[in-house]
Amino acid sequence: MKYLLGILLLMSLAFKSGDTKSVKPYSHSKLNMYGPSDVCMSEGGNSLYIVGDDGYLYETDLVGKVLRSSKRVGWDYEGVCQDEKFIYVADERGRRVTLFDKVTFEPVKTFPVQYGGAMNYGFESITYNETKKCFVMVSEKNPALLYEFDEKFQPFNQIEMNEIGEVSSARYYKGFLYLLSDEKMTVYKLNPITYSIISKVKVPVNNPEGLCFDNEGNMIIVSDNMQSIYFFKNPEL
Amino acid sequence: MKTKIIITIVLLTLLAGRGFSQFSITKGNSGLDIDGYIITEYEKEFYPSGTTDMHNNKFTLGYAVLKFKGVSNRDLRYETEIDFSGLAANPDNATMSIGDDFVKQFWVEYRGLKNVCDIKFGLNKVPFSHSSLTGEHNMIFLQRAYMIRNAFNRRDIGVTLHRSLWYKKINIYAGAYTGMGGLSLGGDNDASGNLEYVGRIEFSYPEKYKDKSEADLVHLPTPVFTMGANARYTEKSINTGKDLITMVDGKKTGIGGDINLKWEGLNINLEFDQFKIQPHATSPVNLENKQTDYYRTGGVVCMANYYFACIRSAFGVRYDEYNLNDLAIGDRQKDVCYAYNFFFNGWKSVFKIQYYQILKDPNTQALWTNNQIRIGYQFMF
Repeated sequence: MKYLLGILLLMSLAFKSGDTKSVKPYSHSKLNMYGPSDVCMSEGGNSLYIVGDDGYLYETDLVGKVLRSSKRVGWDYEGVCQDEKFIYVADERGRRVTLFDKVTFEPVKTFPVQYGGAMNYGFESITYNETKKCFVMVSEKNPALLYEFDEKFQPFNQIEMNEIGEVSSARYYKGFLYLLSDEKMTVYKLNPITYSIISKVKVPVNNPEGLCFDNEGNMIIVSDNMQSIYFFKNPEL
Repeated sequence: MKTKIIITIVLLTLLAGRGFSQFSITKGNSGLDIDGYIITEYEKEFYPSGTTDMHNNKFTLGYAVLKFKGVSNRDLRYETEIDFSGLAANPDNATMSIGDDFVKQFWVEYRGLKNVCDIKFGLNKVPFSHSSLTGEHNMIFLQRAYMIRNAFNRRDIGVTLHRSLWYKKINIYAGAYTGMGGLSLGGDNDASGNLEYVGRIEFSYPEKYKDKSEADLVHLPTPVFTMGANARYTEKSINTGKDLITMVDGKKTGIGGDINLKWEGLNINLEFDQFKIQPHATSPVNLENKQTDYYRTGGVVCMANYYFACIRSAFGVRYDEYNLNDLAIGDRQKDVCYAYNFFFNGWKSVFKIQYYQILKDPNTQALWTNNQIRIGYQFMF
């Protein structure tokens, strides 16, 4: 028995994680939608795009009040980002990225994005890495694999994100890539070229699934299970 | 020798700990997941001195489950689940047989009736008892409480209607089943031809009712409270003389309730289930010659555990109390289970230890089982 206890002690030391800075939301509000899974800021910073588990894309004001929604064309929307022309939505179970016209809110093109893991462990994140001029999507877990895609969503690079292990959102912001881990409730700041971790911050929110930043660097997080949007002061990562 | 066995088990589990799992095939709005899990355990029962038959000291393939979970055109879901550990060997005559649990689930569910209800057909878990509805791969204990295993049919063939309200914070289930449990797979109902009717309502706050696992591995910063209430009724004409509690020759009415809390690594589950059994006058079994036409069976399950994220370990304790027949003196079992789990990769890869201690009732006529320890490893692929 003493050997077993010794092994458990060694394991506990090996797996013990270091202290991580934690931030608390200064405000939050309920979202009138099912399963909010990701959020991104519109180009002008005047509204938010939010996607939901039931395959809808929403545009909301800056506190999450729904302004308009798309038709139900998706299956399981889990990631969203945008550029000057389109809104890009990652359909996790559908294994595809759908482009929506910003004006009409209609789907205009769909790219298949194959992944062999479990249907609900697919891509929950999408963002455009402006430093490397490519799209980045990360499979949720088992394993968490970061893929780089060209503008026709052809993959050309794959990196294992073992240290993070589980990823529910990705966001490129002011020269850095940020990944959100739902299970660890942690936001990681990464080098956008090497994808090495620079710093991290804990966000004590149940089931955080979506991440973006406003123009002042304040952090916005949506929670699927809590069906809420949370606002954090600039964490200065 | 013992040390070598322990070190071997730990090293094997370490090697398996990084295994990645589950595969899928998708086309359009349809997809198929292939996955499963294996739980292997060593069981040692502490027999009284002088016992010569100690056949329960053994390695057991607790579960060897292969699952296919599919979605067709978004709204039609199906699942097949086979447990190969249900292929039971009989050591007395060296033959194999197929146990009741070989086929665990075979169902199809239509979710296309928005704002009405989902409809599920087939062999499935009956919506009764939180402990029963928790999957064995989401349990920190290697064995369910005695009452959950023996007081009612956990699976059956039938139809289940499900309606969610308030963004899935409220779930309502209603179903009709053959009422024969695993024996329903044999194709025939009992002589009465009566069905069993089951209903359950669940409420969760502030999150939707989603996670029925027995541990809070993510240390939820906001506490999540859930509760459920359920009931079931059937009247059967069983004349096999076998299994007088799960299926009775007469009326069986059951009610139950459960309360659960998850918060910052703490997980608490409390559950009670009670059944009123009215045997047919022609076969008044279990009435103990009392002036009554019914007896009650049921009990409670109380469980608490805490997950220490820094050492990836959960420690749990469970108190079970089950009264087989309220008319029979001493027909009551109480026990306490202690559990330790080491999570290599969430629920995907877990090393489990369970110690099961019988608390003797002073009026107990016969000890139902002995104290025992189980050591097991769970791997989900």
